[in-house]
Amino acid sequence: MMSFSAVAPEIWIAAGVLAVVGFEALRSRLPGNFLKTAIPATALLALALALIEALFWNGASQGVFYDGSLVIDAFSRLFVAAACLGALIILFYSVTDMERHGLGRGEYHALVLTATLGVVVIITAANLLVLYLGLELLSLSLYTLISIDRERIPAAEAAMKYFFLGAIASGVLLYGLSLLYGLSGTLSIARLSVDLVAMGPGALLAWVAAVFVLVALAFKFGAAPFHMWVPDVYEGAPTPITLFVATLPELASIALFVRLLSSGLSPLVRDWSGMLIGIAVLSLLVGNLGALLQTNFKRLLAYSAIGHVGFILLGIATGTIRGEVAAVYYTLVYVLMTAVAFGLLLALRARGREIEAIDDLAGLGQSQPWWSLLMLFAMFSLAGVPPFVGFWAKLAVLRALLAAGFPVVAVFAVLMAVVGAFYYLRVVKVMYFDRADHPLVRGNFSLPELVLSLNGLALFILGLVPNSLWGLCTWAIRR
Amino acid sequence: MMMGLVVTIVLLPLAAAVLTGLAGRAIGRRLTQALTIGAVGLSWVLSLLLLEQVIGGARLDRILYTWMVSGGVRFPIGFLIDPLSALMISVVTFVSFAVHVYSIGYMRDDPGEIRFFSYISLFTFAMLLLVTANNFLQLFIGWEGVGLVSYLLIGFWFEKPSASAAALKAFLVNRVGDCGFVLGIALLLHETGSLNYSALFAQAPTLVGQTLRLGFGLHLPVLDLIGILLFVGAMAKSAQIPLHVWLPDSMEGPTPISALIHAATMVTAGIFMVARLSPFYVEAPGALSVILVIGSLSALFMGLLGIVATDIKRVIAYSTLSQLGYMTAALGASAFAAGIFHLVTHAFFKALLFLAAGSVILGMHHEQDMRKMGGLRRYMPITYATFLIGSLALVAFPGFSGYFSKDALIEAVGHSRIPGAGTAYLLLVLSVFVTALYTFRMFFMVFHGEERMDAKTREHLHESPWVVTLPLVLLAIPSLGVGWILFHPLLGGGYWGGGLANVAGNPALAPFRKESAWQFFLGAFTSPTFYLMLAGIGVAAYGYLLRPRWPAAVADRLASVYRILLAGYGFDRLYLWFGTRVSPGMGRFLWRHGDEQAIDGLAVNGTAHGVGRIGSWVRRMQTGLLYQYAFTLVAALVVLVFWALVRSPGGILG
Repeated sequence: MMSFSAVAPEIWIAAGVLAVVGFEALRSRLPGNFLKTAIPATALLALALALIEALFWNGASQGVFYDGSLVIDAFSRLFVAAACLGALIILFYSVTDMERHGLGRGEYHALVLTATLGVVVIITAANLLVLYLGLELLSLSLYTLISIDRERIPAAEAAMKYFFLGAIASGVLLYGLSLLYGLSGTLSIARLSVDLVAMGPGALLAWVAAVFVLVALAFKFGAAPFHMWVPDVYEGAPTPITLFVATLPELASIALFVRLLSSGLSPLVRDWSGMLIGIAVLSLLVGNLGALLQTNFKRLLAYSAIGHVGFILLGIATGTIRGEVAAVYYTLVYVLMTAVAFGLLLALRARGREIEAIDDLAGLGQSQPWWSLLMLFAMFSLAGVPPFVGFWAKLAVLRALLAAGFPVVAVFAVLMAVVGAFYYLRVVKVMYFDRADHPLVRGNFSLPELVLSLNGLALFILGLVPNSLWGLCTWAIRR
Repeated sequence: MMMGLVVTIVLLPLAAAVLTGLAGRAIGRRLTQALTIGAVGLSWVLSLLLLEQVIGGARLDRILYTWMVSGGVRFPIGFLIDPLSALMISVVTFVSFAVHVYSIGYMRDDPGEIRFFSYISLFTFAMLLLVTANNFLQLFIGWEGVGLVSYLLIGFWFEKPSASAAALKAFLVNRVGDCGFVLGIALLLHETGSLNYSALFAQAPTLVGQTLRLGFGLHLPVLDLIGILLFVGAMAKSAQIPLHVWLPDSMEGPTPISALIHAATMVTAGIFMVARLSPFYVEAPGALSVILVIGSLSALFMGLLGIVATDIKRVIAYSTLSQLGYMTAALGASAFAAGIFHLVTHAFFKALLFLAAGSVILGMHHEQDMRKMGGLRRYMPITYATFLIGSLALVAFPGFSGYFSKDALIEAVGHSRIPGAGTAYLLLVLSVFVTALYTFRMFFMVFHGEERMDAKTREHLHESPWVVTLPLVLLAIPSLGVGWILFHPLLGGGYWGGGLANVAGNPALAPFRKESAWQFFLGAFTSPTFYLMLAGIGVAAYGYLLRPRWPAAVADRLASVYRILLAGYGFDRLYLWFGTRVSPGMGRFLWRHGDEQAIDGLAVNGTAHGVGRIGSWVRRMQTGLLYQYAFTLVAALVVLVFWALVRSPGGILG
């Protein structure tokens, strides 16, 4: 029997898109004040409903739906919930800022919703074509979002670069998928592995196809050497969009990795492992060393993102369940940490404009003790200082690496984490020890303040009970 | 049930300390005093209940919870209640209670009064934690806790530079001891794999004869090494030569503190620790010899310093050093029971002496120089009487508590077969004379002879208020009587019930097994120590009552010896020289050549430069040019495809 409950989150988000677009179409007939409230409220409501649908999944509707298009299991529910929660948080943090720039119109909300929808589709995809569909939905929305501020040249440049490179990556992915389809005759990710095993170890073309898929995924993830777009996009895009780019696509990418590796391409894992470790090590190197000399805060976070992707890929590269759980755990933690850092960037203003340089944070410790404490939480967590949750995430990956027999790589990762600690701690040092030549003020930020505070505190509290989130990830992967 | 009792006893003072420490200003000084005194008083009463249960045969050795697990090592919090810890709890809470009450009068009108009460409650908690521990972690927490509070209280009047300096000195010297203590615990953990006492006791016999290779062909017996390292910690805490230098200076703290922390309880922590570990120490005869020698040396040579000191509190401080030396020597002779017995009686009479001295100081308007006192017996009769009781107990006058413990202790050392016991016995016997001399010198200088204070002070001289004299009387009672009661159970071994090692079969304690307190009392008049003690009192009476000019003449005649004694054998100068000349010199050398050139120059800055170079290279790669990005993407794809072709089993090279 056809059931709509399997796609309930998707339906709510899509309905939200339609409603927002509808409001926008009627802009001339509706009062401005009404729209100003109604559009964000609709978007938030749609995401909240989708989140509730994902959270209250009872396990009964597990399986593959719609002729092998979508898969509903613990993993997809957890990640759909995470994506919806992430999108909700992003909207909370960004509404004020977007309105200040005159960008808080319907298209922003509609595009955030479609991008989220793309993420959700990627997460639940059971079929190569659906997977590609979701990826394009996400990518196209992002291209538009990055350039939503049409007047700003850097934003347009960033969008252009992202679009151009993204198109190449999409082509590469599509080519890899078509090779796989040609080899196996199936689009189903689950059946793919059976067919690949049947072909035996000599299937040279399958390996080449796997490389194409891997490269495309590494690009989406922003892993070195496919990372070039990351710093430019992070810096060029409006901060709320950067926040989006930094968080939700990472969820989608890790979901893709988990789906393709644990069910689709598992026979090839051993070979992936070598390449993945190469990419991960390079990402760690480029991310952490590149961040050292950055003066722009968003660029710093961009390089830091590349470094964190390196850690996540290391978890995947182990090819073990434990490593996969560690990677998933790391991703969720990373999203939480990044949300705090960007949320604070959006909340604080220096010299009447957005914070750009790290030095703009000077004196924050005195002028805004609470927000600087949260920033300290975020930086410590990103650096992996115990007891913050970021520490446990790093530890989980390192332990998985050691268990899988990669001690040298683990040592290298630790060394890179030490280098990383330098630039995170420099932010803390600037906040607390450098004198400010200008007052730092807080934007008018009311309800989101609470969300941001909770988000920041979560880094600490989850660090005190690291097993809670870890247990959830284990449950989602093992199930 | 018993666990609940123990936890209550330990936590009550902590609760009072936290409450008054945080909210003291809000609740006022009256309520602060009531809370802290109530808490410690209740702890005392409960401790008597506990003691009764323990005498009835109850024991407890249980882990309450595991604090954390790290690298396979469990860090437990647990309690061990046996005759030894029950006795210590009772003594600590009783003396603490008396000092709390006394402080109402002594600290009146001091601006830091509330802080003071909070500190001493915190101290009581830390001390109780220390004595009730069943593992080294908790012992160490208590150990550092009492050290911290001691530091805070020595420097209680921190605006006085000498007080701050003394606090710092105590802190630094104790760090030296901690260094050994922590090494000892670490080595022990390495050898036994556990921090629990019970594990150590169980494994100690199997470790006998094992050696630790230190390289350079050096092999050390493990047990002796652990024993000595742990004892280094005890040396600092219990102020034994050569780590004793902080205790005389600690007299900068308020007098109740000197009584509670620097006489009765904290400084005995080292003694307690060794006794607590007695089942282990009996397996380490080498360590025992070291302990014996250090203890007996401290007993005599610290006592000698008491003869030349003129500050009333410093004299008592030196006497504390000497008495601690006695206890340490008893431990070294493996007569642990005798050491603990002396610890208990000493706690009472030394606290009494300090508090009585405090009463004198109060009367003299904070004058501590004995040369400006004299004839005080007419003005302060209660203080006079209690001080006399304390002094007689200290010099081990037959019948007073100190007699039973100290003479038994000396006799036990005499019977011991630990190497070094002969010399130690001689030192301890000589020291009896010294003790009597400095004690009665002080007594006569303060309470007898001509009145040397100025007229203004004399006008205001009067007996201290009842909150000060009541604790004196409270402490005078055990100083008189506790020896009679405890002699047989403690030394005969009836009380311990196996809780302390080497009570039953120990030749050193053999003579006391059949003797009653009466017999031992009567035995005094046939022992040489009695006459040495009388001689000491006699010399003091001659020099300070009959011929007041004589001591100065002696000092002139023996000027060089006198100067050495005044300088405290030069320990302070040696340490100062080492601390301000040698150590910074070595530090400068290592800093210039080791740190700046080798580590900073090559390792740190070298790495940083390398990292920085790669960083700027990565930054330069980021040109911002789209075609370069696209080229990198495609090039990397090609490389990876090539790699896959090469590596795959069916590939080019497969």
